[in-house]
Amino acid sequence: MSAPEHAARRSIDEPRGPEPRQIVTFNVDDRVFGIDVAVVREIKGWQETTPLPHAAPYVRGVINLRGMILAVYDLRARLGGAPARPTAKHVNLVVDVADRAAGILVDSVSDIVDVPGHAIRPAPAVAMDGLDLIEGVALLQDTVVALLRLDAVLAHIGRPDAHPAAQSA
Amino acid sequence: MDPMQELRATFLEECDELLSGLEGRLNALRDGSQAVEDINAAFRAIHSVKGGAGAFGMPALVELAHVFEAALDHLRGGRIAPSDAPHALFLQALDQVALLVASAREGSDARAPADIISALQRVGTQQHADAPASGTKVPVDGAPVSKGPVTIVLRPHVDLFRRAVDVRDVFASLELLGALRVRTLTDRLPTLAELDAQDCHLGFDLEVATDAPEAHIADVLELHLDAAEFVIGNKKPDHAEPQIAVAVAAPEPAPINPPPATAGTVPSAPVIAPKPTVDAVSPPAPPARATNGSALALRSQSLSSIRVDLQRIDRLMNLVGEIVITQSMLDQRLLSLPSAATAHIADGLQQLARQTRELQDSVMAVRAQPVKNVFQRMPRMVRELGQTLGKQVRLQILGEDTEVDKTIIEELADPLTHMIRNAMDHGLETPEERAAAGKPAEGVVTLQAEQRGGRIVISVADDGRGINRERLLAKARSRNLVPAGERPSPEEIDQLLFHPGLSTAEAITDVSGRGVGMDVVKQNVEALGGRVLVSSELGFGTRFTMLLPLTLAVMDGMIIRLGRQRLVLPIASIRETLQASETPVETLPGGHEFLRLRDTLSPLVRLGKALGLGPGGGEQVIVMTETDRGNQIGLSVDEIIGQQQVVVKSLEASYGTVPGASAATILGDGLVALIVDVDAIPAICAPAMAAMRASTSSIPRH
Repeated sequence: MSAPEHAARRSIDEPRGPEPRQIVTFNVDDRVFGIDVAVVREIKGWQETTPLPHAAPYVRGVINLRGMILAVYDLRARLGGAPARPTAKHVNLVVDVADRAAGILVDSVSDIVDVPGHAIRPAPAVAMDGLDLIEGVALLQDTVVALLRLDAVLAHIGRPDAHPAAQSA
Repeated sequence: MDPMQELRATFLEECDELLSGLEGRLNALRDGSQAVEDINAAFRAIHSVKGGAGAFGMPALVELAHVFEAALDHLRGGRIAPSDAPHALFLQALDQVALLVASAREGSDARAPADIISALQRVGTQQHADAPASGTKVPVDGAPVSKGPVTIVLRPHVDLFRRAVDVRDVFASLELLGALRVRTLTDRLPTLAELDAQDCHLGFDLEVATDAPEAHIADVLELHLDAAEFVIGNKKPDHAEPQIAVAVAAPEPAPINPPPATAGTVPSAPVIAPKPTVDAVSPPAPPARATNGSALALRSQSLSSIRVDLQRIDRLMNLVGEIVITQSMLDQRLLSLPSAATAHIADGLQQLARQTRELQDSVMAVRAQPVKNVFQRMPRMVRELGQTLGKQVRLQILGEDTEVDKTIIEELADPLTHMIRNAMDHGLETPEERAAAGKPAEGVVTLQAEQRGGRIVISVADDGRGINRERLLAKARSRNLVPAGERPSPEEIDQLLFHPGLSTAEAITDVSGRGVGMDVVKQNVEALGGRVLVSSELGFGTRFTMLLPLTLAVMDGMIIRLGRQRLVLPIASIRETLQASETPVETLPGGHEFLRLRDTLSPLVRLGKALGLGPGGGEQVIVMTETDRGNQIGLSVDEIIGQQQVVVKSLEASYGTVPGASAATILGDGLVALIVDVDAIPAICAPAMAAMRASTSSIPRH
């Protein structure tokens, strides 16, 4: 539930760059991703979602977050993988994007790290599935963290895919 | 905001209501109402505006309201017959008052045009000069002294100033009847030590040179004062009046003491410094204007209502919604306990459910307002537009007392205005055309509201030329809105009116590109969770109907199961439920399924499959639903779980539009269930409908 509070905070032992950022890191399929800590509203354990009709495969459905309806996105599916098979260990990152809250389903949340500006590189210019969702990478001592462009990840909010006509009878 | 500003804002808000009421009354009078109540209410409305404007220091508004009031008073006094009244002037004056109120709200300092003021001032005199037979009194200034004076004794209640009554207003009203002589009665002044400067201890002995009947003088006075506060004629003042508590002693000069602290006696916030005590004892003292009390006083005129911030009611509504959820959660948990132990708890829960329901209805009622609030803006528009268009139009209004949630009322004005304009502009013919068609020259536009089931139905109908479907279809085809070769049903053709690319004008006349299309109306109404329908008969008229929810907050739902999913069907759309095994299903070429039910065919929709939530098949139950267009559609589901009140939570706010779901709700176990948008199902099964039409000759009509 409250991984940010419990996570040990570490600084990177490198010279300070211009714009240090605080990043929440999390895992999907052994890959490490990060988003700014400021957009994370809370971290909740997996809970059952209600699927939405004709939604994209990465739209997991909606959950009840204290009386509010929250749409949950499956990051693995969003990155082009198969939909996650959530277990009790899976985690919903509740983020605020463009005045709305949304949930992002990930395997686990690992850490909060301070990343100096010079450790952040633009995304490599190679064609790769889901690369348009990455704003850059943060080079840490032992890992490379892909920084997500949340607005792109959740880009279709409010613009559901065209409704496939006539499935009835 | 400082309390004074708050009161001022409240007053300005109240002005809007007063003016809207005033407009209604003026319209009624214009339309030939002879009702004393209309005249009096109009008078009271503008009088309240004047009182408040004075209290909040808006001289321009006071000036205009004053002459307006005086002009209306001629009507009230019977000096002008309602039929002879200058209605156009009154409406102009109303606009000016509204403008002044608006500019006061913006903090600017506008003035009413002098010509309106002088025109209002001329109202009585002109009337007198033009039609002496209809007037029996000599108005305003220069009342002849020959009239027998009527004596009036005023013994205002001690709280007079706190009620923000300005005695000068009383005098001014009386002066309209004739010359006035005032003598101030100071016999009830207490000693200075006992004096509260905010109390009124003064009385007035008045003589009015008028031959107005006593009842009329009483009417004038009762605008300002309670009946117990004055005596007309030669009767002795009534000494059993309420201020007996005030010391009648001390006619002798009061000793000068510091004014007593009065803060505690005034309930509302900023206490105006009491006037110097000396003023209060010097006889024709202008009464202290109890500035802070006047909004309260305005309110006390309609003691039976209070003004509440809408946000507070919304909060209340949300809480009620949460209670509904909690309560169904308790219901559910109870089911998991052994029933022997829970019987009496279940009883209690049932009672709780009833009470919650009542609570909810009560909160809803707080938010409900009569549609009159928007309807009464329409007659004037109709009149003015009728003049512009050169058409004779009568607006018939029905069901204006129908109540709807305030949030919906506020959104109604635009679509209604548009629909009525549309009816007048394109629906009704010119008088010549009407004459040629054998219709009366005067066209009738009917605006009607009624509550039907869980919905409010508002329709705008005209008796004009109706929709020319052939022409509409031709236009639609020429713009590739309808594929060549397809033959839409009459209902489907009518729906083309709502297409952004077409307008009513084109459907009916050759005039094109005028104004906004009906698609805007459709958008407005759909944003409210409603639908717009159109029906028409060539040569006889067109009717646009808006179907709107009574509220946007709660609804009665039927919980159904589809696989592991639970969904909610709005009770209002359910006709009946059937056992799948006992209902004959026919399959047409193309795989479309139909139910044969009492000699009618209705499409059958496998709901799970239609919504993409499961493969479907093997469903046990068929729920017959009726869409707002009157289509009956069977939805097959796995199980009916039960009926429950659900709190409607928007999906748009957190996700976006969901095809097939109008909203979501939270069930007792905390999981989200989607509310099925039954009215969207026909779109999903449109091919099936087309197949059905092709195979049957009878086209469903409504």
